[in-house]
Amino acid sequence: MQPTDEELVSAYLEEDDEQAFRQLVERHKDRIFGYLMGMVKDRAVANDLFQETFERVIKAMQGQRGSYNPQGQWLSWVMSIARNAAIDHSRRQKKWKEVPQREDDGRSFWDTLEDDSPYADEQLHRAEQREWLDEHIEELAPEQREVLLLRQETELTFREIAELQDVSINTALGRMRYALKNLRKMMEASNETALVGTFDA
Amino acid sequence: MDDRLRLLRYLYGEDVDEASIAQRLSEDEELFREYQRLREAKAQLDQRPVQQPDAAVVDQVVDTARTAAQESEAPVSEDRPPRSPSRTWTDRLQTASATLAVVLLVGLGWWQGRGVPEAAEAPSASALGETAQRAGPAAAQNLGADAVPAWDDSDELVRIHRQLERLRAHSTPDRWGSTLQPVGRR
Repeated sequence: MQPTDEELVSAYLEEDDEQAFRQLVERHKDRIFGYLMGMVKDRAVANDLFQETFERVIKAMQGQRGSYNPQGQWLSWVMSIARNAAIDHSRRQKKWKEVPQREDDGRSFWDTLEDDSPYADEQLHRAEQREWLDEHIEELAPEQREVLLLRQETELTFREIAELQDVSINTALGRMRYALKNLRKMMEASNETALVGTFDA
Repeated sequence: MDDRLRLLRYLYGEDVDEASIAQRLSEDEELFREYQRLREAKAQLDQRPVQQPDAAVVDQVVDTARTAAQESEAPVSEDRPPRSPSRTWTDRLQTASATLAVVLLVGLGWWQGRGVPEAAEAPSASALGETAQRAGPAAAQNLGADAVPAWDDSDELVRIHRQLERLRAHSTPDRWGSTLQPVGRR
């Protein structure tokens, strides 16, 4: 039986169990990173924000700074910190908005090399599909996009998302409803009928 | 809660009365169509490949956690170096000590130079009495009021002292050759 988040947190704080902390990070890294990637659209920046988030988390857990409450849900609390880190980054970006940025798809030199493995086509297809979806998600209104990313990537409940955004649960649900409806409209409009047609009727 | 909003919670497997939702979907065609549209969009999102942070970043995070844990458990040294007193307080204490020393020296000097010799020179009342007794009544009379100690200049004391001297002179027994004898008329 897998230990709960709270048990792993206790093991790290009370027994300095480094592996317990690693287990926590490994368990939730995709959710946190997925949300950050959805927010900043840049792998390098998302990596930086991921690290920054956990630096804040560790400081708060060690009682150096912040508002860690051992009674609460650990992931919800970490997501609130990740969200603040993303918002801080967005504010910093606005200051540099007028500075021309070099186009960067987040891929390194090695990523651009041809891959002749049998899975290359499938990987390429998945990457293109992701890129295509991400472009549509980016077109959503910011509040809709954030609810969608929080629910889809981090798997927080709508109630937890509402608490995180300091809104009512109906507001959070309403934003999600519009996000999904608008996303579907965009998909239809972008002539990707082949993909849409494969889903259940 | 609005049925359309409840649909979302149902779609994401949150705590919703499934029987009730299923019944509403079978009754309301428009609600069912909306459910289909939302489900299609969600299915697309579910197919997005998972994105992971770089392994090096995860390792770095765990290293940070280990370092923080080690720092937090490092015992605090009990032999802390003595904290040097505040410069302001040191200055204040030095000034107060110097002032106190000067005041004490002045007071001691005054007491030795003025108060003690006077007290030593001033004869006590009993010493004066003994002197007068040895010198006899005449000498005692000569002492008079001038013999009153300088430090004892209260009027009442002067008066008592004089009366005492007079009584002592009168009560002294007559002896031949000591004083003149009163001669009565015959």
